[in-house]
Amino acid sequence: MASGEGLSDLEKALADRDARIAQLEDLDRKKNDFVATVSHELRTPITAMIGAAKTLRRGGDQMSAEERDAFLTMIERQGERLLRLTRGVLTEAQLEAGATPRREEVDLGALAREVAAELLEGRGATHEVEVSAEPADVSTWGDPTALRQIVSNLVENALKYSPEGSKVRVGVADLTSETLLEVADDGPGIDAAEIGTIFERFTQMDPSRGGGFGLGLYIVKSLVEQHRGSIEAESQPGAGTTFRVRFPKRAARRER
Amino acid sequence: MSKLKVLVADDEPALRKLLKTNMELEGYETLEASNGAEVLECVERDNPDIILLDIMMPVMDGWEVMTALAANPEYEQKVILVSAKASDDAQLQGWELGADEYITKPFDLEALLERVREVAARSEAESEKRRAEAISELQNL
Repeated sequence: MASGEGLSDLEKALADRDARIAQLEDLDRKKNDFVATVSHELRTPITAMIGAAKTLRRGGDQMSAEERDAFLTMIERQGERLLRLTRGVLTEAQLEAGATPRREEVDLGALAREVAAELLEGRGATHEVEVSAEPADVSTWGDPTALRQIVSNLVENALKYSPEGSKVRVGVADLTSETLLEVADDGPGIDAAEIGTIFERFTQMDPSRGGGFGLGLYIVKSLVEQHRGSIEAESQPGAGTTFRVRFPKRAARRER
Repeated sequence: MSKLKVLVADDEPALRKLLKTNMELEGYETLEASNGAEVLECVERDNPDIILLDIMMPVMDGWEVMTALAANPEYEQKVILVSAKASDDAQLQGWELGADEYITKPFDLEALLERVREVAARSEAESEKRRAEAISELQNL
């Protein structure tokens, strides 16, 4: 090959360009899929809400008080589900826009218990969620809304992927150098080949599990990183999955 | 005449509850299934007249259910597919597999009820006809 170096630079530039094009094509395809997923995911709660209201109107006077109440609850829960779905999309947009987070002391154990209770109520107590804190009050320095979303997305995922009746374990611990948050489930687990992609935008392991836009873990990872923390997933097919989030201790306060 | 039996099959509990209650308000007897395998068990056990069948369900999807129903001539159920799959291809596939109606989600409740009433009328007419034929066969013995 003549004048080897110049050519290899050119080859490299071309290869880089091709890789970049492939990346953008992939993102474009994922965004298209995302639009389809959004419209599909919104169908169920909207159908249920409008249907429940119409059912009450046509048959409310033939129903018992409990039955009527069940339909009001349906409207409420499906509305909340819609809110969670849209909140996910909004957070993603905010992350892209680079919004500035707030910072305050947040009790992680109390937060986890609150979030777990909300999620279980919304699903009709299909699972058990056990929250353990070591010591009893483990707190971290962060944005309360973001921290809530981190815990909520992880626990919701665990509930979604683990069998009914099983127990989701949430653990928070105050370690010497970091604050640890763990969420473990008895779900189907994740293949080693796939575990690298789960934090990517628009990735869903099993869309038939119903619910979600493939944004949940991407949002978690982005929010964790916004807190200068890290997240990892440990899993084996058939043996459940554990997500481990590490937040750095608040050394910055002493430096001020 | 005894009440028409409607099987409501959807993996989404809210939609199942919604459809079940409305079928009861229509005066039908109702049964429930949350996946395709349960649908086939229910067909075998309770012999429903009409199935409101979701397509995307765990364990066994609506297509597989349709295929299994078509394979057995003893099954005389009317099937109304109720699915978020709205493409022409999906609807064609539904008709080809022998669906009696295809309703897309999100559905309009009144429109769905109207279709169910039509299918119910056809189902009753057909079972009436089968009964008359059976009687005349017996009389010819």
